[in-house]
Amino acid sequence: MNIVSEKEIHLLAFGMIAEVLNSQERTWPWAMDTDALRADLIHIFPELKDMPFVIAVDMEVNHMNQPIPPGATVALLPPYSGG
Amino acid sequence: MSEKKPKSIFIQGPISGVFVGESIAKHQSKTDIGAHALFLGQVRADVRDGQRVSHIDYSAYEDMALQKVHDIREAAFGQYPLTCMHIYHSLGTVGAGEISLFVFVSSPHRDAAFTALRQIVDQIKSDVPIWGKEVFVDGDATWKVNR
Repeated sequence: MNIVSEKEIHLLAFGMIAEVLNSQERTWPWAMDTDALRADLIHIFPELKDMPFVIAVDMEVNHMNQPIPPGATVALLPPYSGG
Repeated sequence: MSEKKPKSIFIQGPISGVFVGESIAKHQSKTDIGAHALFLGQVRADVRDGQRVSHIDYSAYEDMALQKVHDIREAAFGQYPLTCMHIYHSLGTVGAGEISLFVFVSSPHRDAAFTALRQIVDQIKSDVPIWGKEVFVDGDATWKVNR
């Protein structure tokens, strides 16, 4: 795992989202909340606009907008399909 | 509070029939058990647009998945009189006809075992961050969608 500075987050991506980002793990500029992060991501990767995914902050998924602490581990999770 | 990392549920590749059989046999010493209920999820060779599924490649957000499974376990133990519970899920490649999910619940009586098993399997499908990519015989692939 990379060291992230106070102005960055540790960004994880899975499933079809990882394919769009072309990576499973990277550092990313800090955004204040999940809505802001989603907007930043869609700006860089427009394909994400039409793809369903939720955002987990330090392994917690909240379907409302939630704040992101600097240095957090943030994961982009498309619909689960285990089993 | 237990802060230790939850035990892994992941097995690389398919879950073998031998592994399932040995898991059952290990319970012979637990003589307060009267009922075992087992669920085995098997990879289907679905056909879509004329293409047959050859295998599924499973991936997971492992740390979060283990935390979610831990929560599912604790909730079921709190709700039902269960003696023990074992949950295994594959990672990596699992071929059509092979087993990718094994849930094993034991209880003194059958009602609790059946009911808890159903709840646990449903929650694994809905709440645990695991993804399956269906790979077709010709090499094309599509992300699996759970019903």
